[in-house]
Amino acid sequence: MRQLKPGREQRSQSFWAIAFARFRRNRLAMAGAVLMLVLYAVAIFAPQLAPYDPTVINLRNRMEPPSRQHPLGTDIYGRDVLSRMIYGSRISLSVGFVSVGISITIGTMVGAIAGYYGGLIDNVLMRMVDMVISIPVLFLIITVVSLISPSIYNIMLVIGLTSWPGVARLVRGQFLSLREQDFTEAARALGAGDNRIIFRHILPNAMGPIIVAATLGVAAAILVESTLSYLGLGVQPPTPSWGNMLYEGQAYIREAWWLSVFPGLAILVTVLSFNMLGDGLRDALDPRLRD
Amino acid sequence: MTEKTEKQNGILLQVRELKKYFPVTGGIFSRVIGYVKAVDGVSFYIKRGETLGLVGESGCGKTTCGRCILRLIEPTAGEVIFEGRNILQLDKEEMRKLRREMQIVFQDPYASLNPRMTVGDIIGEPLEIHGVARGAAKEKRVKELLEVVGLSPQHVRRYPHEFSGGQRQRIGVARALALNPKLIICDEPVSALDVSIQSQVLNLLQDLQEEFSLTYLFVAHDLAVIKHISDRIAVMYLGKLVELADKEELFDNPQHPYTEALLSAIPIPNPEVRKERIILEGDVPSPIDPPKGCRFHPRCRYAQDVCKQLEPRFVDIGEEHYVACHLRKQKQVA
Repeated sequence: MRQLKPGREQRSQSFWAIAFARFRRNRLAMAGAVLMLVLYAVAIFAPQLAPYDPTVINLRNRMEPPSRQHPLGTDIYGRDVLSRMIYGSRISLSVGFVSVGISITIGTMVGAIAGYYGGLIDNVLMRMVDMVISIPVLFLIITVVSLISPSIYNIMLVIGLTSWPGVARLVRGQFLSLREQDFTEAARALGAGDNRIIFRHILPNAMGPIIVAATLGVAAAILVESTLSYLGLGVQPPTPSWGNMLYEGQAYIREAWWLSVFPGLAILVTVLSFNMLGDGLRDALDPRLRD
Repeated sequence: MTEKTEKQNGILLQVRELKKYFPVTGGIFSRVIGYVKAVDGVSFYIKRGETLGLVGESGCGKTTCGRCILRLIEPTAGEVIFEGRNILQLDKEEMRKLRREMQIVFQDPYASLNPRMTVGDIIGEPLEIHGVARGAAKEKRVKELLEVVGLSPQHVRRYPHEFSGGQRQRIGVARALALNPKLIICDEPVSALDVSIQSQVLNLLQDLQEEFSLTYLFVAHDLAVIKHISDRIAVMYLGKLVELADKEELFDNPQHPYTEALLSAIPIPNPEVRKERIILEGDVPSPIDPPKGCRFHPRCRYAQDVCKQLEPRFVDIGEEHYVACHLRKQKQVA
């Protein structure tokens, strides 16, 4: 029975190390991850990367097609489209990041409490979730934004506060099944309190699906922000965001296709990369696929 | 159980009339439409240092009984007296402290270890919870425990998935041992293991019992396993004990027809020997609506009218051999 291998203590692969190894074999997911990192780098180093000031108007250069000076052309006020897109990535990514942060935090707390304690608490919380889910999110956001000012912070807040129910359901399901596992029962038999069981035993085992939900949630939030900006309810000009650039460009799509095509592509690529990343993470973290 | 046995010294755990009814709900309003009587009035005691085997077929309530004793499942009624204290009356904090004294080893070594924790964390957790040891002292104790259960101390930083079923069960045993408990409830600890590994784990459990003067309640459905490890054996059928006796007494002189049938099902590894097999007919009745009278009567080949009417009492027929059967005397005569 003893397998003594003389020498130093054997350090072994944790769950996360194995998941990462599996993730690395998935090319699509790796591409998504790399793209995501590039996007974040662009957003962080926007002032260094952008060739022009994104808000400086130069009416002599209006609607110039892509050229050496302006790789992606200029818009109706002569502003550099590339620079505006680089700065716009800050909006998209921070909206994605912050609103998902809010929704994951609320969703995990609500789901954990409902799933762990069950009974009446579960019922009350889940009916609340049903209520929030039954509201058409876009209409709610439009209403809210038209009542309070449509600043980027309000948008983050509203997206975050409306997208948590999905996370709550997911986490609740995880807690319901993990709560009944033998290792949870073992912890209880050892005298572990609720906090210890929730944070040491159940939550670490539920992290996989939560991370996947977060990644996919970023993509969804970026889309919602773009939609709002496109409708004119999001980030207000002159601050550039991919959504409001798309909106401004659509009127001139015949004369200046570059005004709408490039922001549209940026949204597409970003959402796609987050979705690929999320799918890859799902595969890497799914315990059923453990080899 | 009689007063006499209770007063005897050396009883570690006494269970009296333990009951666990699980409500069954139905209809659109989730009304309670019945109860699954998983454990329905079970009484027994365990002496210090002995192993009481609890045997019965699947679904008879063995596991529920074990979990009720640890209050992992809250019993519906009854008393569980551990070292003179009825633990069902303890509050949450008192119960938490008492858990040092009584531990459990689970059936499934794959489900009972947290896959996100290292072996060191798993075995060290009880020490942390009860503030016994931290840091270096904890690690030292964990390594000791690993050696005690026959694993290498170098395995502390490994994860459960890197071990075989037998090794994982050893980890589970080490975790149960960490706090030096007096009682360990072994809930089918070898049922999920290969036969070749079963004996290793059983021998380990026996060695540990001697070394640390442990008391076991050993739940199993495998009679060979039960015979190997137990001092006394209790036979359970549909939420009730039907017979309880010394190991030899039970195997040589079974009194209850159900025990008889169970024993006749043990294969004999000798093709020359022919033995009469008692084949039980029908299925185990539903524990929601158990048969009136003796619960075994629909499947009993000796059943008579009295068995259908009156529930037999669980009585001592001498030398701590308990049986719940109306026909015991007649059978002996016949």
